[in-house]
Amino acid sequence: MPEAKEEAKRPCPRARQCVGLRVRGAECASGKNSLQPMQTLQRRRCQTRTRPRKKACVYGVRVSGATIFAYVGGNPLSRIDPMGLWEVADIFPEGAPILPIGRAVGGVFAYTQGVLTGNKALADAAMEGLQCSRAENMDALGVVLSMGRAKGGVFPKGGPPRDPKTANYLPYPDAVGPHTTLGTRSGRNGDYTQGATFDRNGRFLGRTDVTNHGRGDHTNPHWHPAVGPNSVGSAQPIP
Amino acid sequence: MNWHPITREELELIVQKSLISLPGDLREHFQCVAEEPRQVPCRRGGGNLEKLFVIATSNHRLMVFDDVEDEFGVTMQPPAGEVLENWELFPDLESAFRGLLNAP
Repeated sequence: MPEAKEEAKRPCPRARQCVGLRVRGAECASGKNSLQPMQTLQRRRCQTRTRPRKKACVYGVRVSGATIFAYVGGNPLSRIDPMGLWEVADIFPEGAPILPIGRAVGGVFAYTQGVLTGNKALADAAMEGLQCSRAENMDALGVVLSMGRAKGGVFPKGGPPRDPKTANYLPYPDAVGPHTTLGTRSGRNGDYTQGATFDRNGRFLGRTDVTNHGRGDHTNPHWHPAVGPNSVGSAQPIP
Repeated sequence: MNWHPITREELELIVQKSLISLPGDLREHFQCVAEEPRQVPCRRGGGNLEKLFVIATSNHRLMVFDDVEDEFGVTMQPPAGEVLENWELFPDLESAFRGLLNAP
């Protein structure tokens, strides 16, 4: 079986994603697992990891998931995980583009930092980076926006939060810059996530629908530019 | 799941459900401008010719139901023979109706 051995030694094309961070759906760079999709190894870590393996896991097979997260109240998403026992992949849907998400979030963070601190060079560099990976950022946005539904209705029903009297879309009160609020909307074609985007002054800019409504002429996600504080215009691709 | 055009029965059910949440005075006012659902030609983003249901008319403006976005919309009544191409979408019947009434 010399051919099989050669095949096993060939580095996987997505090897970088495996270093120190397991990515669901990606393939492992190590020879042993390079032909097996990581998706089938739900609880295994990549063998070429650079971080020391945690005691709680034996090749990622958890001794007890509940026990591992007990010290963060079973809620590693909103609390601190000082020992690094929690995996990034655990909060994302299967096959989520984790690296683009991380890059996009980092870019937005850097841009915000640059704007808030008056560091124009940082803001420009971050914006340039975001524009370079625009297509991937759109994928990341789609995944992040769809997570509300995946987590079982975390977001309010009826779409993003609105003023009960005026029906105006409401910005997040503590936001210090441009941001997006989320909600789950029910349509005839099922539930989907909507995001209402605001500028730094809390002005409603438009809405993102994370669906194609079952039609080929709509992209997923797509954008509705604001017409008024509670109304939007026709669908168009994400700007 | 593939999209399919809304039927008149489906639309009437949605409008009836939405009417329940309308304040009493607005509901009475809506009954005055509401009309039997009728279809008018429309074109979305320069695409194929489709149809939209009109459910109310006031001051040369139409309230329609967009059966792709599943939202109520408001638009100017187009000249005879012309096709609807743009309409303003509101998240619920009440805000759409206020948009219909308060529009310039």
